[in-house]
Amino acid sequence: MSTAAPLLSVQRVTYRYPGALGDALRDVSLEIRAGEFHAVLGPNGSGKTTLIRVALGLTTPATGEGTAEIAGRAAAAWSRRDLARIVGVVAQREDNLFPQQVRETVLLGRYPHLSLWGAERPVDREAVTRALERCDALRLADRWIWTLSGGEYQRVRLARALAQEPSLLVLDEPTASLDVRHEMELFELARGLVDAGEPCRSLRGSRPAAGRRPDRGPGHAPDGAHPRDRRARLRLARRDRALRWASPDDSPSSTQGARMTALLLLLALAVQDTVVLKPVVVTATRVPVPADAVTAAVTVINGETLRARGVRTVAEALRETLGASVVESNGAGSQTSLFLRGGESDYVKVLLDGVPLNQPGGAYTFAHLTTDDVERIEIVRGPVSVLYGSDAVAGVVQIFTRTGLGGRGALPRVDVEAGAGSYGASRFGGTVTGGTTRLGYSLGASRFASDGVYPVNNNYRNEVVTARPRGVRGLGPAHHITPRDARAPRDE
Amino acid sequence: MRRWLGLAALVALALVSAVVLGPAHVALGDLTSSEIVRSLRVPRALLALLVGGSLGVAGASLQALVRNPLADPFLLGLSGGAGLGAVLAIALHVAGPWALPLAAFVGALGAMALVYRLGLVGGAQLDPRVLLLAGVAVGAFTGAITTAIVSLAEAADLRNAFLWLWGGLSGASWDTVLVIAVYIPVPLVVLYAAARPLDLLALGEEPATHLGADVEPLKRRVYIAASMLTAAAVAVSGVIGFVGLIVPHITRLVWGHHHRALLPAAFLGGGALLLFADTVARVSVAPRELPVGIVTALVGVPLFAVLLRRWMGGGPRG
Repeated sequence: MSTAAPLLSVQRVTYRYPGALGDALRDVSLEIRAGEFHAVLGPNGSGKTTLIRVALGLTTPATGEGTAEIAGRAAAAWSRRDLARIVGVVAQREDNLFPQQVRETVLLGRYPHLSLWGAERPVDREAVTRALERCDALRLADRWIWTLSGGEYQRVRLARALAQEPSLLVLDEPTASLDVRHEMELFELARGLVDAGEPCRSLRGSRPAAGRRPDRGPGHAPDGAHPRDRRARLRLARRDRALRWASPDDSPSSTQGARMTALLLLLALAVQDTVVLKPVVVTATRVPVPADAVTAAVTVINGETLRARGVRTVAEALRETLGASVVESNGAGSQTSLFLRGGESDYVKVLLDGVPLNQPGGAYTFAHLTTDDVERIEIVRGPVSVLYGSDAVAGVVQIFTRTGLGGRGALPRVDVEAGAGSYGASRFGGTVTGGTTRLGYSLGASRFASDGVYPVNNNYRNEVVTARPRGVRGLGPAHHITPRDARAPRDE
Repeated sequence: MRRWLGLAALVALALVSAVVLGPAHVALGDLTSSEIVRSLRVPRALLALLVGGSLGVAGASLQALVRNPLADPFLLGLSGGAGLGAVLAIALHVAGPWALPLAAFVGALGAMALVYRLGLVGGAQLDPRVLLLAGVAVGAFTGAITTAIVSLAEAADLRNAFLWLWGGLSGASWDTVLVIAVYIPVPLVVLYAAARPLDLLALGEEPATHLGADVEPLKRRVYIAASMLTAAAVAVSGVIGFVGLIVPHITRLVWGHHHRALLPAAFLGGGALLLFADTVARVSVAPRELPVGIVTALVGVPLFAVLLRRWMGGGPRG
């Protein structure tokens, strides 16, 4: 833009607090010019506040450990009063020992503009009113500080910094105690201030703020970036995770003579680890409970992983479960029984979406139960007769089919699969799931065929059609129906 | 404006009652010609005004400096040092009308220097918390020595020393009024010049710096000026408690945390409170006198309670 000195310039600063073991800052450089909006992100203790202390001359790095300049002059050489007219800081913490009203505390921001003995002038009162107005806090003017909410108080503090009529605003973790909504409001406000470009004048000529957060730019500006999108070589000590958000589309309306504002935002944002959701188990206690909070021996098998691994039938899936032995009398489609913990195969209750599949007497053959459209399988080992009746002496296997609930409605999810192998084995199938938070559906069909390993009486064909519409009204019970048809003729 | 007029009226009423009332009856018509009024009551009233005012201002600025509403001019060890000096002068039978005040003054300055030095232990920056702790420690230390001396002293000396420690304005004369009136404007002006930065300091040192205050010089100036005020007050009137604690709070309830108004108001308020208290001390058990420190506590604390109640119920601007 111009060759004028940057508002704030930190060059290759290394700083270590007296007596500290490690550097708080190591080789940090930062340059801010009028109209720019920078954000320094880093976890707590990564040196953000130290950066500001050094940049504003509150602490001075040792000789040869870098320089800090404000508007072309060493930061430590400024008198605090003069500096306060250029840089307004909303510090991370402040006290409120004595009762004060909002207008009074904002008036404190006028201190650098007042003479030693002189009283506040009308200009100062106007500046206070304007600052409150800009922060949408004018209606709070006559309130006592302690009656304000956290968000209101932050706005008031921002107004106090604006009343200084600074060219550079520094907000040190301004959203630390705010909820997401107020955090966004504050960002929008700050963004609007930079876009407006003239904190001390009227809003005339300002672009609509459009409520943007700092535009997430690349960590380093590509060559084609906006010319004023200067690259800040920023590295905070201890964790090199500090990023920088630049604003590549930044083109503030530069009305003639208007003062430009730059903004430096320090935010405590740590790079978050992926949250791992623990499986929820229903079968063991009949109410949803996290798997690790269930006392019974429960195994949860995720249908997604089964299909990814090409496991075709539930019996194959069960084979890997501890304490379960699956006995198949012959090739595909033959009598297949599950013995849980050595109990009789009649004594395992098998449920599909809560509906018992066992024949009278308790027998069930797993031969034709495929993993098509299966959401997950829960296996409870040990007696749960109290919950599921006399069939459940050895355990319970419950199969849940997919519901499609919580999807994005218009965009159903489609899975298609096909496969072939030796002995004439072939497999085709597909599922469609979709839905909204209220209504969901899943449909599936598959066909499996095999000639079998023996020459005669060994062919097997299995055609499965499944469907599961499910509706939820409010927080009430869910309604669903699960037709599942498996035709498995075994040729002679 | 109404608040200032009210305060002025209060001061005027206190002055008039201090001059008119007393153990000896003086007819209203003889007020101007009476020797009792001219050389006893008037200087004593003026001294009470100046001393009370100094204590009020010192208390208000120290509360802002150490950022603790419980701070009191005597919390910083000055009373202990002054008491030690005074008791030493009494025990050693130093003669002369100015011996006692001078000894107390020197003792207070010694304590101030010691506390100030201790306040810098953390490095080049004056730490208000350390200042408070150092004040308490120095006060306890000098208090121990004072008690040791008093316990070894003769009975007559003992009584004098104890009376002095409890505070009183009976030593007032035109000379003392003159000395104090010449002395206190300097620290008062220094403190008034620091009024705005003191407002900022309530937010904390770093926020105050960001708003343009030179915090380090400010803290030193305020500490030394407030201590000088207190040292002078203690030299001429002994240790008068509660004025420096309660008056700043009362004025803060009315004028808010705004030292440009608070400091003058604390001066007038402190003066008025001490005037009333001294009048009560002289009149209530005449012809004897109560130590004025007892009266300031008896008058000030209920007044404070009433105002606190009103403040919590509605608003100080009422």
